[in-house]
Amino acid sequence: MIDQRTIKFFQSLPKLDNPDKEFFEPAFDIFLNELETMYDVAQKVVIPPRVRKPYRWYLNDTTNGFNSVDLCNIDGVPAHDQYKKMFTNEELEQGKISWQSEHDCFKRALEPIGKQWRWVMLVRIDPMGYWAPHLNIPGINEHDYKLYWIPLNYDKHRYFAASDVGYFEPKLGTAYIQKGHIYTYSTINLSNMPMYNLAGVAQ
Amino acid sequence: MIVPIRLMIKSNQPIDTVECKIYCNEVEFPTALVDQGEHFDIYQNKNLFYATIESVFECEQENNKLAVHWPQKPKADFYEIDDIEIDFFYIDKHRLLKETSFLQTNESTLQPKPSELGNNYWAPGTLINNPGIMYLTFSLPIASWCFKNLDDWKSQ
Repeated sequence: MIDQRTIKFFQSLPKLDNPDKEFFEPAFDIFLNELETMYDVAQKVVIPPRVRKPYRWYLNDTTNGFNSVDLCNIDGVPAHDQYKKMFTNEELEQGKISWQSEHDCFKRALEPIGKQWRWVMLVRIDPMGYWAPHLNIPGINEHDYKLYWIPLNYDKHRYFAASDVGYFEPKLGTAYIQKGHIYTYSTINLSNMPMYNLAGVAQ
Repeated sequence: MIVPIRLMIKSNQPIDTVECKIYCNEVEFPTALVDQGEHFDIYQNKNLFYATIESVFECEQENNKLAVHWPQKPKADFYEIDDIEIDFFYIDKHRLLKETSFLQTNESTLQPKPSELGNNYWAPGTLINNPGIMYLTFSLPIASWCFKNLDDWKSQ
C-alpha cells in the first residue's frame, strides 16, 4: 500500500549515485555467499503481513522499552514462541544475544569488524512498502545512535533516504552505517520482491 | 522522481481481481488492488463496477513511457480504463481516448510499441477486452506549474 507521506518525503530529495557519507556510510563488505545464506534463512522467519503496523520483530526481549509480546503475536502463535525460534536467551546473559544454531549466520554478520549485535532485527519491506528506523528503534538514545544496516537481497528500485540529503540505491555486499537522528531516514521498496534487511546496534 | 499512479477500471460485471502489470520506461513496478465497488456512471446512466489499482515508479521529468499490460483476457467483459492519475497529473477519459494506444497480444512479456497502427494495434486503447498492452507517453507537469516560464528554468 502506498504511503503518501513517504512518497512526498522521497519527492523532496535528489537521487544520488552514491550515499553521502554524512547519512549512510559504507562500513564493510560482506561475502555474497554469506548474504545468500542469510537471505535463505531470513525467508524462513515468520514475519506477518503488514497491516498498518510497523515491523517490530526480534528485538531482544531485554532491551527495555520493548516487549516482544506486543510485537510478534502471529496467527495465534504466542510471541514468545516466535522469539524462541530465533534466540535461546531467557534473559540477558552478560549482555549477549544467544542465537539458535540455524540463525548463526545472523550472529556472524558483524564479524568483519569484530563486533556482535547488542540488539538486532530483521526488516522485511514488501513491494511498495516503506520502513524507517523511528518505527522500531528504542528511543532512549535516538539523537546519538549508530545503526548497522545490511541489505540481504537485491532487486531494482530500492532506496534509502535521508532528509535534506537525498536517496540512493544500496549495493548488495555492503554493510552501511546510519547515524544521527532516527527521524531523518526512510526506505522504500519499488521492486516486485520483498526486501530483507538486517539492522541493529553493535556492541 | 518517485511518483505514485492510480488506475481506475470500470466494467458492467463485478471485478474481483485485476491481473495487470505496470511498466514505466520498460521496467515493471509493483501493483496493488486498493479499492473496488460499484458506482453510478452519469454517462451510461447506470451502475458500473469499478476497481482501482495503485503503483509507484521512478520516472524522468519528461517523455516517460507508461505501459499497462494484461497478459490474459480480463475475466469480466467490457473492461475500460476510466482514468489514470499520475501524481498530480490527471488523465481523464477524454485524454485517454486521444493519447493512448493498444496492442492486442498474447505475449507474457512487454512488447515494444509498434510504430504504425495495424490489425492488432490501434488507438484509442482504453477498452481492454483482449489480452494486450496499453501505451501512454507522459511528462510530469510539476515544473510547468511551479515556473511561469519553463524555458528559462530549463536553461538555468
